[in-house]
Amino acid sequence: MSDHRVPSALDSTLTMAGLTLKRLLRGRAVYVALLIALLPVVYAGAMGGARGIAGDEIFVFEVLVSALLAPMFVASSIGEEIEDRTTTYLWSRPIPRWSIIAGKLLTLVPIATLVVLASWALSAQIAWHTFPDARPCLALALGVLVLSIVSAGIASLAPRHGMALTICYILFFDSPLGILPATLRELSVTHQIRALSGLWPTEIGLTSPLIALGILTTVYGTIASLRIRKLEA
Amino acid sequence: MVQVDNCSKWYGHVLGISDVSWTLRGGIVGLLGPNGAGKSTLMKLMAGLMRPSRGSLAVYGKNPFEDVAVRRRIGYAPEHEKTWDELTALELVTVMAKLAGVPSNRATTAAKDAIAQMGMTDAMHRRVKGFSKGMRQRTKLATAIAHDPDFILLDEPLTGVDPIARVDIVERIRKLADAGKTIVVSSHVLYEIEALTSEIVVVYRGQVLAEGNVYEIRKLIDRHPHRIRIECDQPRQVAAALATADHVARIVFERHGILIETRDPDRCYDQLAAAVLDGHIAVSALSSPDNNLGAVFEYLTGNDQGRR
Repeated sequence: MSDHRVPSALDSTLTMAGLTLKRLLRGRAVYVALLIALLPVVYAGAMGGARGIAGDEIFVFEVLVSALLAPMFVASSIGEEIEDRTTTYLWSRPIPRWSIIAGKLLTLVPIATLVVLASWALSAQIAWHTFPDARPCLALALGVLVLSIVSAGIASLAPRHGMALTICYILFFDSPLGILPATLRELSVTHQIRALSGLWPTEIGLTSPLIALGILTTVYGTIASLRIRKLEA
Repeated sequence: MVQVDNCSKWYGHVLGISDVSWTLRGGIVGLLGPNGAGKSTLMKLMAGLMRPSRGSLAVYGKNPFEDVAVRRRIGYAPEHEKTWDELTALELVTVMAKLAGVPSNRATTAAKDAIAQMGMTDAMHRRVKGFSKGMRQRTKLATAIAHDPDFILLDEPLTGVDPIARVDIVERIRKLADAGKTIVVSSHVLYEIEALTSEIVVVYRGQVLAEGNVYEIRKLIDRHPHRIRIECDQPRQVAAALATADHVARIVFERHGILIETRDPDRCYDQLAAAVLDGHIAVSALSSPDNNLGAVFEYLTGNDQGRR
């Protein structure tokens, strides 16, 4: 046997991140994402000129963009890997399986965040001729991260329709849940992103949304990690 | 090296392998069986892609599904063609080498070596997307050997490859065995396995049916009565022409023709052709229900309603 060693978790995560980046840049997903991210900008341009536009209006639009981009990048990437059986290559390697998901998130979350923040900044510039505050930007960035982990969890459970299911979950379950006047809404990622942004008058501080998002991240991250460990080729 | 003890694997209600016990010590071993026999399941279990539903399987004394480190010593090329088609062959093999533990500064060199061993150097900067079936097979093999594993699992490595490429790939696999690697190759085509090794394991309906030298298996297969079905306008005349031939075991009259069982298909086809030409018989169909390995295995297991 050669003197090569089992790769460390960090090495395998970084290799997976590199592989994901290469595949992403050579595919069409980035271009589709940019088109989706342009929608709030176009909206800001059209409505801002016509009647003036409120910050929260565009922010909600950006949350929706995040709800599309995170599943488009993360859920489809994980789902395709399992459905196309390219996982057989990965699972036969001496690496922890969670590093496959970690590597994907390491590449896809920053890119999705960058696209969403660029869209938000451009929309704000067009609507109000100023750049947005740091807090809504941080809320959006954290939102993309949590939605990406939610996507990973759902895609690992239902790889074939991971992207569609995650989008449906966020649009038709998570978002309506967030507007309920009850404690149930604390389970809504989109609600917590809005609360964190500080664009709505609320008595809740930063701590509560951060804890809620932390719990949701842990739950979906654990689901993804456990599920990927048990999956067989 | 590989120890399989009473190992079974089910996919829900579907049987993958059933109560298999088998020991692999080294060299090249061919897993032979018709499609759906359980070869790929056994391969995947050895590669650590799945765990047994019952029984145990150990590679170098470890369970490859649970023990990450032992997979470092395994090289696996799956049956399916899907890879990351956006990558070039070099990129693909390099990534696989890195994930198998080859240090980053040596991964590209290791990948180039593996690609060269598979005769793909000229195409290594091309994307996999545009590769032919044979090139894909070679690239897959390169991913399996780039990290210099001790134990190589090649699932149907010759499927869909043209005859010239097949000879070349067989030669390259043999070189790996000469270098001291233990190799398991699966196929549903006997002559593919014969070209690689004389040691075969016959898998059928999820069980190891026979194990040993290919020539013994070949003898069993050659004793299998071959069936030829002919549909024509004068079946009785054809039957009369063949009835006294010593190789014909049985003739069965069917609705639009006859079914002949013969122990010498070549002679039978010659005599059939002569009978048809001499008698000016109009033949509407000629087929052999036995042109698949499955029928032969049915014969070997005695599941063919006592035709032996």
